[in-house]
Amino acid sequence: MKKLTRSRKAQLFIIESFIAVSVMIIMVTALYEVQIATQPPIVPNYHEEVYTSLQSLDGINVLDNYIYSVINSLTENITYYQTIIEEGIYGSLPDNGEFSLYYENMTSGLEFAGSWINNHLSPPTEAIGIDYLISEVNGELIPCVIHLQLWLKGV
Amino acid sequence: MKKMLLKNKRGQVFLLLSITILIFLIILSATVYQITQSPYIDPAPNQKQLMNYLDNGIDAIDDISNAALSQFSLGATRNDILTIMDEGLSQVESYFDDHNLPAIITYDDVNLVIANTTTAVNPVYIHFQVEVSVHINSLDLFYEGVILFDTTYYMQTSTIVGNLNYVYLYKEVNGITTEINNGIVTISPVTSVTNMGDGRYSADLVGGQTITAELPHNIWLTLEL
Repeated sequence: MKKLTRSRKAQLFIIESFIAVSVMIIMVTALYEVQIATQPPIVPNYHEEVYTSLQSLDGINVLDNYIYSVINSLTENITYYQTIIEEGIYGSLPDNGEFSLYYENMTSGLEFAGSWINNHLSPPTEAIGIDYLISEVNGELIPCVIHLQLWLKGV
Repeated sequence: MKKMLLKNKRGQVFLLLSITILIFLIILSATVYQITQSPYIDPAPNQKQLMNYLDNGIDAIDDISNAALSQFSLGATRNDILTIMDEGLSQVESYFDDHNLPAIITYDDVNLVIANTTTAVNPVYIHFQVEVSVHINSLDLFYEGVILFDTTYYMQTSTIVGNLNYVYLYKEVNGITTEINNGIVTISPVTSVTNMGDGRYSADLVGGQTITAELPHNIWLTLEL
């Protein structure tokens, strides 16, 4: 071993090998990091599924009937439509999925008091935001935007 | 060994080159990493998401046509309908703008059709038709289209012979007919009506009755037998 380290060629060979190994490690690490970075985000994108649910709920007039009930304080209907909305959205989320939403009057820029669903929950910073526009409520032009936030518990 | 190597000219050049290559590789990998990570640090607009907003806007325009039908069935004039269209489309435009989709939405008021039939002709209907041009030119999405909104709500009765008769509720949207099974049919003088759940409403129909249908979106139709 000592003989080997004294030889100049051997020394160069050792240094060269060391550099080659280092370069390989660096390259493999870089490739690994690139692979990790190009993978989808840890929180899967539920945007599509929830959006489709919102479209279906809108198609059967649940979203506008809900806000109509809120505006007119129809307590029984509020609970009824709220349940349908919750079932629709939770149905397109995994078991640990959570959401909250409220309606904003586009004309005034104010939220509709009482339109919150799951207001008691605090969305984390990485919650996904979705907006959904409704232009008509029970035959009247009342443009409002549903602001919805989605997140996964324990992630 | 170190001293020997450092004194050796070739060794010095070799070391220098190795260090340069190492630095170069580190910088390169760091750059590649940053480039691939950046869409997640500062999310690039998601095409699908933008398409969803576009779909949503078009659905909202369709809802404006339902608002127009509702208001017309409740007695609004053609000018009132044009106002509803102007206000509604301007709100959809600002919704698009708020979501990075600068849009221009227009319609030709000359070609806008809003009409209903007299209450004595079977079937009665209310009809709305408008062509809306949507132009979106953003960095992330280009869309240009003319969309036809053509909706007609109908109420029709079967023969009034016998005591098992039907009132039919249906709508035709861009040529596609769909039964309406969540309407409310009332008959004056008071007559029992059974919703069959398939667009038919069973009742004993006789001449002289007035049938009123409350359709989704608060659209009303009246038929006198």
